[in-house]
Amino acid sequence: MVEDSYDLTKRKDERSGEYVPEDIPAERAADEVLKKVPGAESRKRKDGRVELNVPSTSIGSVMSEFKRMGYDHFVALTCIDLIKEDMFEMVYHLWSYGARTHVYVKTNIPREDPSIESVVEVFRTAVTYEREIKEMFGVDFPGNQRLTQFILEDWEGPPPMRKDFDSIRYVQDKFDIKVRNPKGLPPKWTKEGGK
Amino acid sequence: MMDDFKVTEIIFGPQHPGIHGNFGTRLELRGDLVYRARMVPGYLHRAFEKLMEQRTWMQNVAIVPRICVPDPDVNEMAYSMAVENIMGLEVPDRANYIRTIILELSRISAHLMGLGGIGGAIGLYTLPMWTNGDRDYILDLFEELTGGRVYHIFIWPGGVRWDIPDNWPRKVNKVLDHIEARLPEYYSLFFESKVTDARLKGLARFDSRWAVDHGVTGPNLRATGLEVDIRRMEPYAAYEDIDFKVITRKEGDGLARTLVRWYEVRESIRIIRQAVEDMPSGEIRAKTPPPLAFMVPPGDHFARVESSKGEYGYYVVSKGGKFPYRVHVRGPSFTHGIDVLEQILPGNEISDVALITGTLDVCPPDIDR
Amino acid sequence: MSDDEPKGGLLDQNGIPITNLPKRGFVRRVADWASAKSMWLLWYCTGCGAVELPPSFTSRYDMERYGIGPMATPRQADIFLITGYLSVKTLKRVVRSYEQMQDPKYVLGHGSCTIDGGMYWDSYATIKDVGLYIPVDIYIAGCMPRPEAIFHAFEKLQSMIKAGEANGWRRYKENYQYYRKNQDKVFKRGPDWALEEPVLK
Repeated sequence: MVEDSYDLTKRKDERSGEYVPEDIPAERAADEVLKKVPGAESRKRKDGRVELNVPSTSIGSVMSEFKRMGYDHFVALTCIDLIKEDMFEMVYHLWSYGARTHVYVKTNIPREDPSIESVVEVFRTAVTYEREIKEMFGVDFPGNQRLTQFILEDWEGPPPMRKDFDSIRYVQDKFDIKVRNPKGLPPKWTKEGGK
Repeated sequence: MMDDFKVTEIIFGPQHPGIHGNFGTRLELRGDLVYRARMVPGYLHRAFEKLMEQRTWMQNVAIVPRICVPDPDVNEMAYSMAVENIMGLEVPDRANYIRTIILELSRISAHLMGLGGIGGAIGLYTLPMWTNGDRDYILDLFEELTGGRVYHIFIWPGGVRWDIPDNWPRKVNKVLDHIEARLPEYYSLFFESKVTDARLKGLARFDSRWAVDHGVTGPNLRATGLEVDIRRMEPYAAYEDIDFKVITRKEGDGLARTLVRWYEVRESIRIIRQAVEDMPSGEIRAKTPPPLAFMVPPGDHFARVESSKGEYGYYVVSKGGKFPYRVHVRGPSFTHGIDVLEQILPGNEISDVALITGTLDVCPPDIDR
Repeated sequence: MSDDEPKGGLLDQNGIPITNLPKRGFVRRVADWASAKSMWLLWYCTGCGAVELPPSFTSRYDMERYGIGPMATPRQADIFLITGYLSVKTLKRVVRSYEQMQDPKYVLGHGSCTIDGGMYWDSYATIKDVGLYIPVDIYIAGCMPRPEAIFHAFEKLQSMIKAGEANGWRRYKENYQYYRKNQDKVFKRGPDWALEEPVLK
């Protein structure tokens, strides 16, 4: 069920070859994607980078289109909990070594039973990011075989990075935080902040 | 061949003298060779991203260096760059030069510690003794400037906190002279030895195509032949005005990764000398709102910095208000330490597991945060 | 008195009674004097305070002149230096290593995070006070403590051992139910070994 990583012959073929960066500017890459994917929109931000908003069902084709055009360094995958609008926002960060520009691909998924298609087939780097988001936010990624326990051990509460998890109350319940009055110091120093 | 041996499963656990930091591995061995590896992070988890949502913008500058312990200034730099970009602040030139000097000094101290770690994994304990001893002089410089040896909290949104003392540049030059005189000794101790060649040559080789597909960045990527460096691709601080070389090697194995680090120490020394000589005068801080009422307008930005381990990035989301809405820290060891290690460890002997982790310079705190 | 209340007497910071100093015979006193001069530190970098340990071993600060050296396994070490904060996952391994060490053993809490939680006081993943889970002999304040502060603590530990006052290991045995109750509140004992991790639900 969890994929094995010990097939040495397979890895030798993947490893061969020199990397040749491709120089396609971000606006042109975004236009190509807009042609192929209906429902996507792009805008230029005030810091000069390009940001795309795509529907969540077409994320696989958007990613392969960008990878084909030289945006093949998968930098990070961020999940933002927009509790007021009742949705999760997933932000994919891509970088092109040839064009030296950064592209944001944003998409929204509903907060109730969240799941989005995994991009592991296109970008292998995303496997650990999706694993962490599944643990911390509870978003499912069908297609990723490696959604196993990552950082938390024996965790029974709700996914901790969500905005409705109150970590201060959890700490007060679980750990004993004491008010200290060390012996040896005069009481007027330890009570009432030294007044 | 591997199927003839006896199968053993062990925990190469967190308490082990060969592990750098607090990081566990579960290995399935056939004889002496690793057949499958599963990395176990999470021993250093402090939930920084949740803590940063409950502290004000300025309080986060104090908590952020703790994410990467050997190289803490890149955290402050990337966080400040992201906040400045959202607010539209322009950092003055003198602050940029001071930031460059601090970042490069931090890079030298992290590389010295990393080289020492590799030497210790081979068994040459003289190298960590020497490099940690020389790293102490750099920590003395930091202590004089900022007050803390390891965590500085000196770079904040807008510039730096205060101006450098008058004779500090002279002391920087003296320390750099000392380290530059010691570098050939490290070379002849470590790289001209047959044991190093036998252990590091050809160890865990990968090509540049595989490296980019698996998210490898930093000196590990430069050791495969690609000439990429964030200081050239997306310049920040004062790197546009400073003349420096990007170090690459072609082989892509453990020896190449270690050599890239040794050469980078020499290059950083040259950068610091230029920055000290060309330091402009002027303001050291842009005009910012008062720290107790620091509000940032809505927006988001991803800022990246070339740290000693790879590409370090901060994605800061602000919805107006006193607290950040979301801060995502992208550490370089997140990709190096989990997926890349699990794919290149099989086929190697168990005595090389700690060595491969050391040549990739995996720093566990920025996996768990 | 029920088993899960600490017995009366002189109390330490957490309310755990410090054992009345037992009478030591001549052999015990010589052994204590000798062990104060030869302390083996378990090499376990539990947190960020561990970055000040390699400089302490170099010739500028030189820990070895005090008779302190690193040791690889818990069965052969005397001192456990808890360098910095402890996450809940690490605490389970720390308790396991501590129970594997042989008596007499001493614990030093290094850094402000071991005293009160430090700057991670509101984090769901770190523990707030190490003294509730294993007995601590000396706390070193600072974030992080300098090598000179570490040596000050080691000198005090040496004088405490020679005087027979460093009795954390006795406290652990006498008040085991109290420590065990605190540990069970935070983590579950039991097997945690599997080559493949459990799948997330």
